[in-house]
Amino acid sequence: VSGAVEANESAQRVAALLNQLEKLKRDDGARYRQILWSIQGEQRRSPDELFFRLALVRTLSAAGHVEDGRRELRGMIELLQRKKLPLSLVYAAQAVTEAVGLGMREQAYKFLQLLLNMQQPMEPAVLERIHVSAVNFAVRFGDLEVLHRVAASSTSGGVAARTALQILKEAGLLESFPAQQAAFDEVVGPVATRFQFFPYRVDGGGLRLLLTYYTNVERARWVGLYDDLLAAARKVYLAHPRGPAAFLGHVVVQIAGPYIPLTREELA
Amino acid sequence: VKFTDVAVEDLFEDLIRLGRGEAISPRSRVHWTISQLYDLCENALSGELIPRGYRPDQLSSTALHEQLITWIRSSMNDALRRRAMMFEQLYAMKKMAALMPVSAFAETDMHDAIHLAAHVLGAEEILVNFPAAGQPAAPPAPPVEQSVATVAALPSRAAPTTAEPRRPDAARQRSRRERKNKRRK
Repeated sequence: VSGAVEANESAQRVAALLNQLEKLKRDDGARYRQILWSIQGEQRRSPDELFFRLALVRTLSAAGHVEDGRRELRGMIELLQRKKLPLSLVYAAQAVTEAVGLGMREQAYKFLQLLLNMQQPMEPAVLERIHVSAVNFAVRFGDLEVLHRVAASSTSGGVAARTALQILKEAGLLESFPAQQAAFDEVVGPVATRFQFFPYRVDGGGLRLLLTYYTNVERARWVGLYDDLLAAARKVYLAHPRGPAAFLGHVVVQIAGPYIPLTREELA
Repeated sequence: VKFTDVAVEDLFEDLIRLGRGEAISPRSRVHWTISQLYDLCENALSGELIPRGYRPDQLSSTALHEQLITWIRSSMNDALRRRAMMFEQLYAMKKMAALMPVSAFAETDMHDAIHLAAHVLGAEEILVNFPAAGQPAAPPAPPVEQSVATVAALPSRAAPTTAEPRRPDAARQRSRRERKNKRRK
């Protein structure tokens, strides 16, 4: 019993650290290192605890540590595969979200198929989590099959998928979307750590799809990435009736630095 | 919002001071400033494109935005397309700032908005003055006048419909001197 209480206290401590992590600013490097150190400590003490592993992945990717984040996520996936999946559905869905952010398409797809094909009844909150992960996957990697599949559900992920499909259809971009996202991924894939998308409406005008890639790239290099994105899109849309920049005015790409924008000195 | 050159100078002067860490923008100013940056970029872009047959005062802001993007999309000019990409991103940021609680919109977002605006406007001095998130602090900034000169070199904007009278040069110089002296004190 005391072991269970201790584990629960540790989990609460790590959850509090994750909350703090989300609020860090660029000069909070010392606090970031403390949080990372504490979570690494908890993870070493309980190496089979999925929550600590997930916390470590999130902490690393938030500050733009792509390779370390991927390594820890691979560890989390191995752990998930050893455990009985029904007990770890939420973690599996979280692993998909992290894999989408870190650009690990194959690993994300494998888990997603497993989760989407499960026949057992699920708690609505679990299904919500799975569909949010699925729609993130579908948009980031341009997977129309998954997008259509999630769009058929009534979860918030389903609503997001339907909106994304509506924007792409109305803009005449649906067919080229997989190629566009593959082309974008060639540019930002190696440096991206998190991905988000958000549909919004221009005042009194049409809907836009905002794609945000958090990366480990300094702002000075962003402009170069935008040039590369334009060059990649040009190849995809060369034959499009609206020309090589057909996505402009429908899909908005945002390249950001790390989610927690610590300065280089603070990260050292 | 239509900008006179004086308003543009004041805005950039404020932004450069923020970038130097001389003053931190209160959160409530974030919305106001991103909105202004967006309008500034819209005016600058339309200044380049308006001669093709439209005047900005003939279009609502939304129609102008959509027209600009349509024009730029059909343009063969990659540099203009890149600026349009950033302009769209700035608009998205403006929308997010309006939707999110003020506390969720961080100083970093403000920095991002300024960088985007600087790229759309081609105002390289702003980039020099603003240390990017994830980068060490910038070296000492050049005098404000240089940045203002960069702004002055922007493509000419169409005449605002509700133009405010421009302050005479001597008065502008005096007011800038006064602000500087005030800062020194």
